[in-house]
Amino acid sequence: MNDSIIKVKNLTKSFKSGESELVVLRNLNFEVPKGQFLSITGRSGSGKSTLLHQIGLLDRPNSGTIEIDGLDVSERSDRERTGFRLNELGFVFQDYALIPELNSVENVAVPLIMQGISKNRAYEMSHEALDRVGLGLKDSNLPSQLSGGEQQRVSTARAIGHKPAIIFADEPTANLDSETADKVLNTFIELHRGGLTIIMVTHEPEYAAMTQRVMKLADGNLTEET
Amino acid sequence: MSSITKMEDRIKKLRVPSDPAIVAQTGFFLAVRQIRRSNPWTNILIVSIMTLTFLNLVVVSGILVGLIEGAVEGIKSHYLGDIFISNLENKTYTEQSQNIISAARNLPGVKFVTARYIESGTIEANYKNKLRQTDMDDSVGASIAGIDPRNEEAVTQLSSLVIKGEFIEENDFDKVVVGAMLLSQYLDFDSPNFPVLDNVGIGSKIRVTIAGNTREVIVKGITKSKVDEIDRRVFFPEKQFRALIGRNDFNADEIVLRLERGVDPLAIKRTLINFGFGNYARVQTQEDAEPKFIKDMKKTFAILGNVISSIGLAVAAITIFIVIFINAITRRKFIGILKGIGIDGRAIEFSYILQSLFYAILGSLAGCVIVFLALKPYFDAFPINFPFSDGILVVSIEGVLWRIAVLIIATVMAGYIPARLVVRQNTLDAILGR
Repeated sequence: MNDSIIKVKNLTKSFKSGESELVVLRNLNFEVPKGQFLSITGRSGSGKSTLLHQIGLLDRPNSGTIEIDGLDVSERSDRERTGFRLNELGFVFQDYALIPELNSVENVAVPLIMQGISKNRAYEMSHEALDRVGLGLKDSNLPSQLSGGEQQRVSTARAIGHKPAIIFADEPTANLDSETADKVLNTFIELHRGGLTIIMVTHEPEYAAMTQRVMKLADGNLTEET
Repeated sequence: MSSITKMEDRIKKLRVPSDPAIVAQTGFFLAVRQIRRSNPWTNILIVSIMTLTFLNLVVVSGILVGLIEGAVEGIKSHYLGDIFISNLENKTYTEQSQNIISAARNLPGVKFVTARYIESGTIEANYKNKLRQTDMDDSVGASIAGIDPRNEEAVTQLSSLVIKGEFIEENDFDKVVVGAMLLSQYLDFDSPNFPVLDNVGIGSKIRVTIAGNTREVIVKGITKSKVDEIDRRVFFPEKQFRALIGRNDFNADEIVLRLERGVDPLAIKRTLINFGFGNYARVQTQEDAEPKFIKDMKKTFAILGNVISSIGLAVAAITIFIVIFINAITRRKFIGILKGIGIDGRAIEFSYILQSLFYAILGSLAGCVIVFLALKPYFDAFPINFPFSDGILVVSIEGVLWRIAVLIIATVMAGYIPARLVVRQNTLDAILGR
């Protein structure tokens, strides 16, 4: 597939546990087409988040290669990987991972300022991103003044604020009640409709079913793909 | 788009903005908000630590130096003046004294001049109470000085040191002022190597013997200072004293000049030497004439001050290191998140450097306010009563700026190192708290 935005080849990841070695991902091979909304499911401890961390460049595999947008990023330096995350990737974490001293708009603006965008323009873009996730009126609230669902939407706004090519979401609905979780997922569906590639880890089958494609991880293998 | 251009575009995506201005801007953005929204009590605590550290650096060494400076100031004010002219080593008195005095008085910048006539002698008390001829005399060797009370007062304010009785006047006859170190009741030690007179007070009669000539005089006043040269002297009015020692040529032993404020003593010294008076007298600035032990103590206390300051600085650096380290460790997860969303580690490190700078500058400013608006005026008004000096707090703007610079450098290093340690950790480990 020439329009694949992600190509994973022979990806293996293991962790040392005392004398023994625990293999979490075994020789995985898959591709993600541009614009796809992909979910990765599996039981707790199956390696879903580990896989997301590898392709999201937050961690390094033991072996194998990862190509994003035609560029082999697996052997790049830490600084280059940081640069790639800044310019091309967006992250939504399970526990929102907002910076507590920054209010909503500032949390969204940080990566934009790091990109060299002026503060005023970064704030404008942040307001736009917050509006897209329906949180435009709470732009000056600190994370501690927001509900879990609102924090997750700020986290989503931060992930999309700098217009990345891919969004990685790690269990974005895990800490939310069903109503709020639905809202967050609808936000992702909206973003996907706008052309974004989204890779979401979830252990909830009903949310996985709402995505275009589902990959299931078990014992370090991709055992099912729909 | 050609495949090469496409690849270049892709490679660009790997680039973290390396422009220092962007790194600085992001670091500043983070630092300002972290300071502004952190617990105010934490900020107050850190600034207090920095203020105390600054005071430790400035005040401890300032008091150590001030202790000696107090002694120097005492000698300068009450004994040496700004210029001290004394006998050449091979002469018993200063020749051409009147010419020197006259020239000095006419020099611009010279405010007052006084001349002292000095002889060694003995003073004796309680001689009327001696029961037998073989009883030991209650006598002590002393430096006897003849002074013009008005001139001496203008130069050294000697009368301010009179703690009992009155200062002598020009026309007093057979009346003297005695230094407290010659009298037992003013000493808090009793040493056989340090003879003193017993039971001598105001109105007591004592005998003064100089070169075989003895006169009975009345104690009119008693001086007490922290300058040994004064407290071991007996002061006569000049006229009677010159008659007593037969000094009719008006050649003095010590000539002391008080200069106008801001006049360079070295320039006056050079002028007097250029007049040729160096052939007749030793012309010294107060600094030249300071006793050697004072110079040695100055150096000793400066070294001691530096050692204590260095220890204070090390304590400050370790304190700020711990504070920033704890701050960085507790914020390790957020540092990981910032890196995770693409914030360059240098921007995060810079934000911690800025925070350290903020605490160091604020602490130093608070310290300056305390030093210059409270401690310095207080110690100037109420010097510390050390046994040999009235200790003041010596702080110079230059010295303070140096210490601020040193404190800031130490603080920035102490803030940067822990931030660097945390930023260098694996991003995912930091996010997951592993």
